Amino acid sequence: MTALPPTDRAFGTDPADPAPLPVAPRAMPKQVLVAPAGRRWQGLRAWLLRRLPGLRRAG
Amino acid sequence: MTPVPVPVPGDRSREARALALAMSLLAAAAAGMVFHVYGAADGLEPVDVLRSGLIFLSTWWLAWGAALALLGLTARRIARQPGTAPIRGRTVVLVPVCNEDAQVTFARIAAMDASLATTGEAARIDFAVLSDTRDEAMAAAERHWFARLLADRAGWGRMFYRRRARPAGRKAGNVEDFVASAGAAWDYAVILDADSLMEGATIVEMIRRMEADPGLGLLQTLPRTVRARSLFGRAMQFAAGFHSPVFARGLVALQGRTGPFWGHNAIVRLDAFAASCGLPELPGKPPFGGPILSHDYVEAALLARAGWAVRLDTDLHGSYEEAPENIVDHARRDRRWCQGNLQHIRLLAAPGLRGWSRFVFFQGIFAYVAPMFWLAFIAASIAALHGAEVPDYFPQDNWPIPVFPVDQTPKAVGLALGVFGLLVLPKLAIALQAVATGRARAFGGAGAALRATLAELALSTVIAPVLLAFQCRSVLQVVVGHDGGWPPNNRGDGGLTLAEAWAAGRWISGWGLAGIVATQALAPGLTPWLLPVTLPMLAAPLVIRATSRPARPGVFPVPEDAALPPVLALHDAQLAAWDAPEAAVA
Repeated sequence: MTALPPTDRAFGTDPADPAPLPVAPRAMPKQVLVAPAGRRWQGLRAWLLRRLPGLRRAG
Repeated sequence: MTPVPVPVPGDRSREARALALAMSLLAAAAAGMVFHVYGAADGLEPVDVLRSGLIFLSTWWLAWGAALALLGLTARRIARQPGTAPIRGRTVVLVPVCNEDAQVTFARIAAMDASLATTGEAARIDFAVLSDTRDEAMAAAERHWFARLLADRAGWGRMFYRRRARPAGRKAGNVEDFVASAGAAWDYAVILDADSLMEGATIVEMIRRMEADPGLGLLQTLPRTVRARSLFGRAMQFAAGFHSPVFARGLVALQGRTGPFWGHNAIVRLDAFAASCGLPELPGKPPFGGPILSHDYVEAALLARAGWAVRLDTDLHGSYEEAPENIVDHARRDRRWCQGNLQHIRLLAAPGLRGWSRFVFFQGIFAYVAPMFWLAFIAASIAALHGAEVPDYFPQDNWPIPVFPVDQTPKAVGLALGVFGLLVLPKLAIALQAVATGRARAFGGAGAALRATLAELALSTVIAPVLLAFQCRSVLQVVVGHDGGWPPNNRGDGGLTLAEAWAAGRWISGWGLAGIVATQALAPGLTPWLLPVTLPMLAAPLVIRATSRPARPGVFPVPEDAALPPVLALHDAQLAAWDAPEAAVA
């Protein structure tokens, strides 16, 4: 990015901002941090199956 | 973008983690066993089992810190050669502010910009002030001093300012709002705090390291604390400069590709950050629900979950921050950190996280819970001694010779010395190594560094019970559901009057007095053992007041006393220029 001309920078949260940020959106999706209880169990089961081959044979 | 994993050459982090865990668990088990034998000498009671368990947990935490120091003392020093290649990507230096002194803050930007100008790479590095200031007068001051900054540094088109209409999500939300609205304009973002300062050459070197490792999502520096003036601030500053680099090298030995993020004085790869670090609000109300307070730990964990490397480079110098000048401001900041870290209980089972990230959350939680274990141990010991039976010297009828119980005092003294050693020995070992390697020269020479180490240990011993009281109160407040919010940091000289210190610490005095009275009434034999805890608590207002006073010159020396870093000198010069009469008129 080179220095942006004033017309491209004329977009800010507050019109009184002396030098607003350029308009250049970047998607920032919300991450999953708290899984539903069912999925939590599925995750634990998958983790155990990966690490305990005996369990895989049994189940 | 998908991360490109670059293997860490000679990565021994798995072995280091196993070693540190084994050492700390062994020390904890030994302490627990010794105490179990001591406590069970007059018959095993449930309270003895409880006390042994509490000693195990408390000792583990101390031993974990000691293991980090030991790793840091013995780890191979990593010193990468500074790069020379021109940087290709575009970088923005983010300065989030919220009700800060605009003149001082924007003078820091001017200083960093001037420092960058000497590197020849300034054209590819911009600045953005991200304001969440609510106070209209302070916002007006921000606009005024930002205009001065633009004019003085010819900053049009490369220095930006925006003030959010709705400050949702606090600092993490502020940065997220920036990424979502303007983040595509840059490849990297150096994230600072309002009190951060970085040398231009350091910023450029960080960018070069990001460009040299396309799998690196975040690079953290170890900031040095500067500009402390009070006794408390100088002691913390000395500890941060003298001890922290060794502890940090220990951390580096453990980090592998899952290093830390401390929220500022770090650089992120913006596409990785955007794709991985969008933080949701946690279900429920604060303190455990709502916005994530200690967002930095979570962002580091999320980058690692997505396959990006997160790294702390301790060989990056020229990174500075300021710190609280008194115990009250320290406790206020610590209250926020406490709530944020305890909130991570909700995230321990977050899907897909690396095991080490979960352990880092656990450590952060444990740091605040551990003081509660000490407190519980003291209470259980008073209860145990209060209920102890008088020894029976004639257990057998018609046997004229008394049978004395086996003296267990050596075990108790040995255990106390062991615990004290875990607290003291790492710092002493660091001091001795600094003397041996010549590092102590920058801290006033071998004698001055050793004296400062002993003084810092003595001061820590006095301050620790007061901090323990504040920490325990913070934990209890969070547990009962009290949201501490996000109080602004106090910056300035930090001096407190006796009235202010009394208002902040009288409740600790009350608990100290209650502790002495209760111990004397229930278990008088314990009273002298507990005086190192109860006396500083009793004198808390005096401790708070005395440590907030300006330190004498030369107390707790640091390298920055002898040679002011260039970017700090530039900051002073900028402030002096803006304080000149014509600047005030402008």
